[in-house]
Amino acid sequence: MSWKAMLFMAFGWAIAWALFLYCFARILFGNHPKVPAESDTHSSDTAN
Amino acid sequence: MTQRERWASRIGLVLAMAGNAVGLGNFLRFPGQVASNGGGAFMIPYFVCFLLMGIPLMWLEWGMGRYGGIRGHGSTPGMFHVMWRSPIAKYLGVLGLFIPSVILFYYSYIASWTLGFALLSALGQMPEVPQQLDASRSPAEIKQEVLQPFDSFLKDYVGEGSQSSGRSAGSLLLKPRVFAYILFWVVVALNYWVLARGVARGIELLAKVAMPLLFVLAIVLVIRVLTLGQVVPGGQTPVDGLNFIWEPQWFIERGGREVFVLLDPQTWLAAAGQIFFTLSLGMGAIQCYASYLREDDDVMLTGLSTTSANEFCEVVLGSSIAIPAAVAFFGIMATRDIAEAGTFYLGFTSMPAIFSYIHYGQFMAALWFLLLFFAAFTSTVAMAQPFLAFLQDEFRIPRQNAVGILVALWVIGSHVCIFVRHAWQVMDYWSGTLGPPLMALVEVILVMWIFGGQRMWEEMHKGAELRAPRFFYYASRYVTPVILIAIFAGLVYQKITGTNEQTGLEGMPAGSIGVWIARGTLLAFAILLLWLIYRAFNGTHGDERQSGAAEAK
Repeated sequence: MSWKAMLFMAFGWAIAWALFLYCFARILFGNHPKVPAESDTHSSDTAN
Repeated sequence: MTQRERWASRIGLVLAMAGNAVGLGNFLRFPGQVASNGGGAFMIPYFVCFLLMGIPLMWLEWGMGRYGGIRGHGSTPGMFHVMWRSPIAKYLGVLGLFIPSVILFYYSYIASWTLGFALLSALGQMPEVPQQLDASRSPAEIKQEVLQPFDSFLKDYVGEGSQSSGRSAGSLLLKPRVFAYILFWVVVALNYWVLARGVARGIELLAKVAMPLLFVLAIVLVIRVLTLGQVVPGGQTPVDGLNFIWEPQWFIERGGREVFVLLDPQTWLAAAGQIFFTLSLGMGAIQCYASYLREDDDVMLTGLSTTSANEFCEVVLGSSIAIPAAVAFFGIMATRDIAEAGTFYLGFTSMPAIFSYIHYGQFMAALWFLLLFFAAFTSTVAMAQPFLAFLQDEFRIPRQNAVGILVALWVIGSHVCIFVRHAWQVMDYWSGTLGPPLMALVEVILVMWIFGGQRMWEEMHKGAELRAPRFFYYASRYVTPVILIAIFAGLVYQKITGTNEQTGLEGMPAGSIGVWIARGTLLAFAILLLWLIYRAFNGTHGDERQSGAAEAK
């Protein structure tokens, strides 16, 4: 296997593995704190 | 407002959403796309589209689904209606009913092929390959002597006709095997059973069983393929296959001339299309599943988790089965032809041919098709749910009755696909290729520009366990719509110039009667859906909707 193929495979697999492990570790073992609400600085994004 | 169903557990929701996303695209379409669009170089546009379009759209659809769900709407007509108080909003939402339902018509039939092939493989009823392979065979010889029997077998199975059978290969009507037809009904019955049991006791339970099984099957197959070694004397190995799929080719041939892959619109279109297809974006199914969330349930981390499960299945597992196995048995030249021949050629022709050469091949082939079946089954259930939710939420029809109505329409649509030549390819083009980018464009404009980008951003972060970088706000407000317009324009251009990919078993002659029957079916179905939306929001039920929306507001 050429080093270029290995590099690109490592690139693809690293992203997929990292995302997968990060998310599932947080879901399965995290303590699930909720993020605080963003400060209400916006103005007129209204539709209704 | 009546109490809507809810997911019973978070892991069940993640698995159900992952089941919605993981389908044939992960194991068949992705490796074929990578092999035909620059190998490792394809991963650059692929991940750029994933980052700028896939993740923002996915969060948007989750947020939108939860917003609609807590206001009593599990399908996009109702969701659009509460997000944009314009008379046309609910009619734009027809896309979120039309697309998944039409996909359901043909995808359920394809799911039945995978079940049928699993059974036939287990029973040893697949074609035989008499000769041993050797490295001196040319791609043309491999195609003729090894793959042709399996290609004919598939065409006979679905009644397309083949050179080896006495059936006509050009008539309007298809004559599938009785076995294929029975298996279609088995798939419908299985879906009926799951859907009638409801969200938590049906869909979630299915996902909890099928998704772990799917992962196990995929891992078993990956290990088996990667440990094949040199199976053909003087030939190549699965590692050469990995090399073939991941080696970046910066210059590829397009229409007889060499192009730089990162500046080639077709490659970008293929990457964006794959992201859409694999994440089930722009179909209305994610919104529908998300509508069964509670108001304070997290959508950010949970949404990202389902996306990550899908990417893992695709990039890690999907790339390590079909193409490496094909290279080990047939060599790189023949594998390139196989990949370019399309998804079905790779999955239903090449893979069973490969398994017929290895020890316990029958068993491995059955596992392969079972893997595809689980992937497809969890997706068919997801495609059925938006229309069910529409009937339940907007017409107050009990679930059992709603499933009955859905199945009646589904069976009619599927029969067009089963018996009319080219019908499912036409439906696939309109609902699976052209529809999702259009739907995504409508929803991203509606949500980020009409409903309000900041408002939706805050909505998505209610109860969130993950704060998304602000980058994604700007991506979904400014970049995603531009990409979607480019994709849609590219697809329309391809359609006009006749350079669109053929996704089916055979090409589609433009004027064939089958094509027009399929288009007529689609038109009739679209009109029916629009009428139902009109009835839901303007009749007796409509009054209830209006007051319900006012209360929610």
